[in-house]
Amino acid sequence: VTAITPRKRRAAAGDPDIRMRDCVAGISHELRSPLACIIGWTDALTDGLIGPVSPDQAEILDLIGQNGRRVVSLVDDLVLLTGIETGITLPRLVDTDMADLVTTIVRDEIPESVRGSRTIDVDLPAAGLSAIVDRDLYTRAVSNLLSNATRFTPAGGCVSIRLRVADGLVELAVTDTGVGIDSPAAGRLFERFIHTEPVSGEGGRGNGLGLAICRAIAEAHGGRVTATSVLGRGSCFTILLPALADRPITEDSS
Amino acid sequence: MTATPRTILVADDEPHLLRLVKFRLERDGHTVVVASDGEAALDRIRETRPDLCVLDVMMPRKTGLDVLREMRADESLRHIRVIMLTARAQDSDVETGFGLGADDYITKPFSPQELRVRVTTQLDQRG
Repeated sequence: VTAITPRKRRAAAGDPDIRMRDCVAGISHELRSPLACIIGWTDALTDGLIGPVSPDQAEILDLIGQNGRRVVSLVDDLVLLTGIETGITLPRLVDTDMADLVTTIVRDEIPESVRGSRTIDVDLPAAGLSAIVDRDLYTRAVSNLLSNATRFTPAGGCVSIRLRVADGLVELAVTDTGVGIDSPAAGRLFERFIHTEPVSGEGGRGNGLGLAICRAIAEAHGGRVTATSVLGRGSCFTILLPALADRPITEDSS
Repeated sequence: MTATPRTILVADDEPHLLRLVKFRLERDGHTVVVASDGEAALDRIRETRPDLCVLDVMMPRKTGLDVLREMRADESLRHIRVIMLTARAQDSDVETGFGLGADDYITKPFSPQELRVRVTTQLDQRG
């Protein structure tokens, strides 16, 4: 079936969302070659290919490389977020066994090296629970929550992941016994570039887009996100997606 | 893993990046021919008959995709393996490139290992 898709109609009308997306894509494109140079030559120096490197120099080169990669991840995330928020990137929805998917995500996102002395508690429904999701985007949303939870939870703490159906919604909750968030910051958590303080010395700072991406992905699935937190006690983030019957209408994203 | 030394053409309009790719490939023992736009790339390809081309997509005069299209339409250049160098990952350039007969692509920024593996794979397949 060939029809005038919403995207084509909007492009024809010079839609500001399309212009925004193209602008972000253009910036990303222009940044990538210089970033490839910064990171590539830093790697060459680090590897000693240009000459001997002292330990002090190696440490600084490592900082340059890390920061270069941080800009790359920021650019990638900005492109992803803009695509989803403008509705130009549409989820590719596939009927998915959610317990399977969540198991895979937890395994990949919290390897032994990240887990450390934290307890990871996973609570999945016994029977097959399916939902219609974009597996890549859902994985991204959940892994952002897991990465925050481990980053903000000190050694010896606990991160629990629970998947269930509640009120006709597929709910994934990530609860941690971390540092928590004070109330003024809590209301704006899902906005871009809102930072709270991580546990010192661990994991470093995020790029300020993780939760905004999470929300955008949930909303693109016709769902939503929630956050509750008690300063000093921990936080709980949830992703709520419509169960099978309420699948959102979609079009091919090509 | 390193391939038998071969001649590789690298085309990119960003001189610093061109130098980086050349540096890495030369370290692996390859002979590297460079070009800073698509037209120059085609001239050098016809002159030197490289074993492999690494073509940036966005170049002045002729884009990397234009160069690829002309190579695939030319009986004497059709067999040369081509890796596209692209600034965007989730992007129609990649699909267009494969549609025109590109053999692989590398997204900027790339690790030295990725460059080596992709180049070696293409050179090995060429035999």
